[in-house]
Amino acid sequence: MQDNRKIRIISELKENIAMIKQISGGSSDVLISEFTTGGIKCALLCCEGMMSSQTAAEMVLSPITDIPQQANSAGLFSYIMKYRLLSTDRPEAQDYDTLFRLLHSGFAVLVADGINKAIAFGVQGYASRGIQEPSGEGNILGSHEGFVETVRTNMSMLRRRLKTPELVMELMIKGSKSHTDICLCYMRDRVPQELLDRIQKSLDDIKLESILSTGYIRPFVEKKIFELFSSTGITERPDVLCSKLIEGRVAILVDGVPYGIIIPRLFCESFQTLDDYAYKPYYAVFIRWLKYGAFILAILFPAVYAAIVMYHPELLNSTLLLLLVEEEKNAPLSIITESFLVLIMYEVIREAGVRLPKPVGGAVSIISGLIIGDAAVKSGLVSTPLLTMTALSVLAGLVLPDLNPQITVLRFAFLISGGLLGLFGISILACAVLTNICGTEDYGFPFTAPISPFSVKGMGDTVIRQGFRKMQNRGFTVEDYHESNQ
Amino acid sequence: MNQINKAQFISLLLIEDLFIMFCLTEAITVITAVGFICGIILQFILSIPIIRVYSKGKSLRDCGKTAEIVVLAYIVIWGGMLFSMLWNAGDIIYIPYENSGIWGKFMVAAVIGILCVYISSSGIKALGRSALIASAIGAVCLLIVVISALIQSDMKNLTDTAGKSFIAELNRGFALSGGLGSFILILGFTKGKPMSNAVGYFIGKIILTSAVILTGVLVSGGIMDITDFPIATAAQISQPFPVQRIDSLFLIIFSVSAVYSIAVQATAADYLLDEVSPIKKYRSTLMLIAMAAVGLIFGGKIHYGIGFSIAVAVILLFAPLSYFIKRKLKNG
Repeated sequence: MQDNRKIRIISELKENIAMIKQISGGSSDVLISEFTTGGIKCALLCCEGMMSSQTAAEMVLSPITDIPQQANSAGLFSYIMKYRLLSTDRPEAQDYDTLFRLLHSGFAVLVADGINKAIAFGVQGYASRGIQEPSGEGNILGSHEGFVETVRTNMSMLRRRLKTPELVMELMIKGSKSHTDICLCYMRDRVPQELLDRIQKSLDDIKLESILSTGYIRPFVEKKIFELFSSTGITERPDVLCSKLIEGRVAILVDGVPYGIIIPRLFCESFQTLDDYAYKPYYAVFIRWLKYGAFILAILFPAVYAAIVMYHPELLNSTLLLLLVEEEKNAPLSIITESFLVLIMYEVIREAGVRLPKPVGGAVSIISGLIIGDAAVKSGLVSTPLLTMTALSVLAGLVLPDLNPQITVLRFAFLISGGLLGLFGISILACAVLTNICGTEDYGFPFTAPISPFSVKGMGDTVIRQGFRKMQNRGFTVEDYHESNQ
Repeated sequence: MNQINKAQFISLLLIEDLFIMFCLTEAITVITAVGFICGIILQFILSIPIIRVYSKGKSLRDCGKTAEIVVLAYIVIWGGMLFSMLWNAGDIIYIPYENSGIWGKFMVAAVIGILCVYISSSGIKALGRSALIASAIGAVCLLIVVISALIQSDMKNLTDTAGKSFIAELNRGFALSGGLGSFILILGFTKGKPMSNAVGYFIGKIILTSAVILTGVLVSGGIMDITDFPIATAAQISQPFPVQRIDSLFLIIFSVSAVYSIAVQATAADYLLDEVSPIKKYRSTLMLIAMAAVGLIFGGKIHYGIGFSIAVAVILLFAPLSYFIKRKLKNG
């Protein structure tokens, strides 16, 4: 079968159709309509559900059935190409592999008797989700459009925002079975050539059978070593992606996935949102620092609580100490066990809330949280201060949905280290985590830039958020953060 | 070894110097501060030959294998000293289980060792970048400790010399700068002019040393006779808030500086072992085991006799001397 697909299209129509049927295995969605036009026997191939019937009738069937007598099939194809602008997208297929790729992508494919090639017409019109507000990247003052599953729609959303010829969008096909359209986007005048070359080389290494999400591609464009944080980012917002492209980054869009991959991504970007640039700078700075604080709180709060109560009670003032002693003395479990169980319970409830159908999921999360939480405190299984600390930590983590996987795992790791070795344990684990974050670097762009390696210029959008009057003069591209420029 | 920048280089080495000061034992006075500063200036003067070698675009490798072995040996010995200091400081810094006999100390060393193996395996770039962030956070914490300490300081303590002689303190300051082994190696892998990098480091070291020792003198001066660790004590007895203690800040700085100090030695030793031996695997693990073993020999004590001063001088001069001899022989 695989060999048949690579052979050149047969010129004899009957044999050609027989071959197409053989390759498709008689699949019901492959429709073959035979007809005669210009005195030549032809067949129009379509994939049901992948094309717009109306467009196909108006743009293809109607014009090609009204062609004057032609001497041969080559003449027919030449006439169609010259005088029938049936669609702007008219690729030719020389072999069955290309023919089927086009057919399965929603093209109407015309084959004729006596010629060993086919013409395809772009009449795609499969059902797809309309443009909606992004679900995971909330925004108040910016655009409310999010990416959809169709790569070409996503490309158009980028083009609408960057109407410059410098924006290049290269389509390629990956996945030996899925034939997924991948779109590499970059600004020709901004992107570092080395970054682009290396990403293209990384993409060449992909030999997967299918690409069904961004997660299939990201490991290929990231380092092979263990990295806690991902050095590539994802976004479901076309405006965010455009802002990154303008900074000289590279983006990858995958057909069937409403997210774009951004390369490279920096740690400080996890704390930036598009709203930061819509608010007044002073408020944006406040919100940004709130997020930095929330990150620390989300990871360390339960661990520091356990460490202080278990090993360093002298750090608490007497009122707080007495309060905690009073509460904890009734709890039957050790603080570390209590914290661990509460966090595990939270993760179970959260996971249930995410996986269950939406109408049920939300209710389950709230009810189980309230009932279990209330019952646990009333029965004395868990102390109120500990539950409060854990809830605060969890809440702080929700401020940074991008970092949720890392925050979840690190929260547990720090809790164990703090519970076993107190503040010393927390400190040394912090060193390990810090080293891991600082060691994250892809394509020569340190993940921790512009903090380390330190860049004064980068502080304008990291520690603070400068006004646009200043930002418009800084001429920033991501190249400024490249290791060679530090 | 990859290259790091000047700020990272200075941070890496200053963290180590800070840790050494936290672990300082015996009384400290203004004379100690003066002696230490003079010791640092002397170290700088003795560093000039190796800085000149690096300024010619050469590295430690160009000084010959013997020079590399000498530096490696010194780094291992100094790593052992750092372990010894860590165990010694366990008397005043509360690390859970550390005081529960030899196994407690072994566990703490093992935890730090495993961490250092991981850090050194991440490479000098990751180490340098993280050291920069850690030192920035450490500087803020240290500033809080210093300010709160100064509030409770007594200026009369500055006049108390506690019978210390300048020469003895100069020797102590000079000898307790074992980080110079890693200085020699890492300077060769730092971007920019070696002289500028070295001057930056030594100036930073003078500022840090003066600030920390003088704070220690001002706060702990009155109880210097009964305190084993003057700097650590100064941090512990200085509390800025009436009902809230800030010892945790000190504990955090102490732990982080301990980890980075040992990690720098492990990374440097790992690189040098790769240079001088055919060993390709588990180098940093081997080196850390060797350092811990040396630490056991030191027996949890800090040694800063004249022998250590001579060792520091030899380390600073051996490599450039080897280079000049090699070049002389080559040129006939």
